[in-house]
Amino acid sequence: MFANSITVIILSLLVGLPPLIFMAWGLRTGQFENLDETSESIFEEEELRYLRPWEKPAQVSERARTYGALLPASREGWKKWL
Amino acid sequence: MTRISILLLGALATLIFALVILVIMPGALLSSVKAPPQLKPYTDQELLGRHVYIQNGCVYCHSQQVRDPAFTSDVARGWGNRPSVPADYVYDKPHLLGTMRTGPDLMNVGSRLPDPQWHLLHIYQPRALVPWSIMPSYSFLFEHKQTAAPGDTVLNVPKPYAPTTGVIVATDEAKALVAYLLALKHDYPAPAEEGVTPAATAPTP
Amino acid sequence: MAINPSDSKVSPPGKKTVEAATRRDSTIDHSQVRINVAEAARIDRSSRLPVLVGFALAILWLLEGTILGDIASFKFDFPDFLSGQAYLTFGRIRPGHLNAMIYGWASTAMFSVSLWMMPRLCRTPLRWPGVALGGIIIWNIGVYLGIILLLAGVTDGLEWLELDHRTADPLMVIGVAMVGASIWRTLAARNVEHLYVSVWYVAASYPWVALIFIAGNLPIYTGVESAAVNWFYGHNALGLWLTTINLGLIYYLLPKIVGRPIYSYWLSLIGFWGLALFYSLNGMHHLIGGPMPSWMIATSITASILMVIPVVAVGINQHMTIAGRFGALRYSPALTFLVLAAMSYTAVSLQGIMTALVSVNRITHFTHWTIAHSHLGVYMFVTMALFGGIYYILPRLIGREWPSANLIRAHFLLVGLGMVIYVVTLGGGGVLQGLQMLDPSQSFEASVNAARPWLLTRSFAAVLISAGHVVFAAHALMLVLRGRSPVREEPPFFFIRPVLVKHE
Repeated sequence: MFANSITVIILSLLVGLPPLIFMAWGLRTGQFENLDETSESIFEEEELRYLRPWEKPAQVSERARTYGALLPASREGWKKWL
Repeated sequence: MTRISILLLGALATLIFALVILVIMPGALLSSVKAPPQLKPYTDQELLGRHVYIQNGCVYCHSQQVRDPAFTSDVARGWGNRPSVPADYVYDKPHLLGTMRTGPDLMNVGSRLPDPQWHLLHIYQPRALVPWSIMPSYSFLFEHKQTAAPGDTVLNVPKPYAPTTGVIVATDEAKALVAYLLALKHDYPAPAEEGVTPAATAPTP
Repeated sequence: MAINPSDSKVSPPGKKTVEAATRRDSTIDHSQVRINVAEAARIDRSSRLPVLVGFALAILWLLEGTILGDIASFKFDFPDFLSGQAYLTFGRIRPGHLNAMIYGWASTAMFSVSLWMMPRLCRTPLRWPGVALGGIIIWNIGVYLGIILLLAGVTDGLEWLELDHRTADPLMVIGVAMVGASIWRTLAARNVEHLYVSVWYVAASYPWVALIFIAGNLPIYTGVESAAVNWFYGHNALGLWLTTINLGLIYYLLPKIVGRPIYSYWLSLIGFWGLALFYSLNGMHHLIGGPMPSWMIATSITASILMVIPVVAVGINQHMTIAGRFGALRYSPALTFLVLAAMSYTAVSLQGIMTALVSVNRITHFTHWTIAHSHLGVYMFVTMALFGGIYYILPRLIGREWPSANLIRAHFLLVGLGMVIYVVTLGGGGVLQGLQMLDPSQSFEASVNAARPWLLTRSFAAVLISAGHVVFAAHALMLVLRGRSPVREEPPFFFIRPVLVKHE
């Protein structure tokens, strides 16, 4: 009933503009950089170096390659993570 | 992301965008919808009945909308003679469009089932009239009296559901609910152009 | 007994350990980036009281909502069951169930989850914990009052917005604002530079839910506008509150338990902003074919279809994080629940997109398919994620392990099996019901009879789920009451037989 009105289309485009502006602003100020660092920030120190008992040998060696010498998955140590 | 201002403003901007599109704009557009002349405002009794309808959650099983016959069978089923339009609802606050049809649509129940006695008994015990019905009994809207007082609306309850002694009398709430149901008649011709007067249409350059 | 990397092409021999530990990007010193265990414990202590109170109240609500849900379910099979009293009538019990589950159980548990997660992610103690605690209590008083009034017959009459706008709603707004204030104050005091994706989800949810709750409850709308606002709210309560907090929880715990960062952080960005933009426009697909201006419905159908983008982004991201490591489910009950929740999120969203298409909607609209769909969302996704969160968080706050792996297993099997039966049978029954209703040559009786057997299986499923909830609540009580002495060395699911996977 109102869909073709140019006024409505222009109005909604105007209202939709702020999200775009904030996105451009975010990109410019580097909000979306250092993604890898951020994705690892949730881990506590050495948390990624514990051997996970469910991992296959290839996954274990990948973990060691990426995060350094692995720590044994002692039961006591595990309690913190599971 | 490092700045919470971008997060906050971005989050608010997206929501306000949606608010404008789905709440504020339709609000402005629909406020100009006029009631069709055949649609009467609810009387006090009907409003009480509507209140009873809302209180007891009839909306969770009964819709009040006839959908487009192009892709539904609502009209073919006899629930109405045309799709509902915004003008049919101008006196409804809150709306009772509903999202379930565990029971049939009630948009035109006043035209389809015009007998108040039928409705009273159906509300008291639906299975007394419709054996396969899974509608709950609303016996708490009725009084069980030993003898009817003058002016009481006595129900003619059939055998297995009738009390062993005394009579079943409709309360004012039950009568109001039935008055509301009987007032649900939206089978007048649809107002022109879905109720939008030309003045409401924004000027196109 | 450190295990050396088998492939040493990255770190030259000699200074292997040091180099390997900080290899990933030479500009990042991980010892600076990462939190240490003592600090994490200190942060957990700061949020302990409000989080525990929230979980306790949430579990009570879960039981109460379960009872209401069971009564409502059995009323379909035995229409005269408990029909003598007004407060027990179906039309009051059903919204009572919905409100107890959404605002009582899920929302209260989500307050706790976000109050626990936020300080950890911001690496600073929770600010204003008293305000947060007060907010949780005021919210719960509001919900309790609202549900009592609802059963007594005082209701606003709109689905998802039934709670009384004069008494209950103001309390709830104050409550959520207080919890939100504590969350945002903590965020403002953060000790991290970059905000993790869970922070966006959790932090954005609070202004979102406050705004939509106020907008939805304003008693100023009439006619079809009231319907538009109703479903704008109803859908966003799911999309911008229940979904977002729980996705934030999954984004935090899933990588943490599996022990690898999220597959693609870039995808999580797309997922978040796509969800914010598209989900908020979805609501009108509850009114397809109804008396709404057609452009509104068209907008919502379009936005629903565009939801494919964030849903697939989140789905791929979470699947690729766990892919190849499903064995981890054997070791962590929290992970088992969270993975099921993550998969259900993808499933329920794709199902929702499908349901928004007119060709499907003409059959499924107004049928029990909708109920099955909403339980897939609010139960299989939201509630399962919250169970996972509680299994992970409670032992850390109370300082001892869950007493029994068998009870966890029983809980999982009961609610998992119950829910699968629920969703599959009731969803199928809904389609059969819809097909009968779409065929004008069939009487309405046919559509009622088509649904009845499936309503009965739903009641059976409800009993299974209820049993699961009783097991869960009893187990949580045991965990609290057990005292400090017998500390288990192993967490449940550690080196024990798998629940679902056959032991090799």
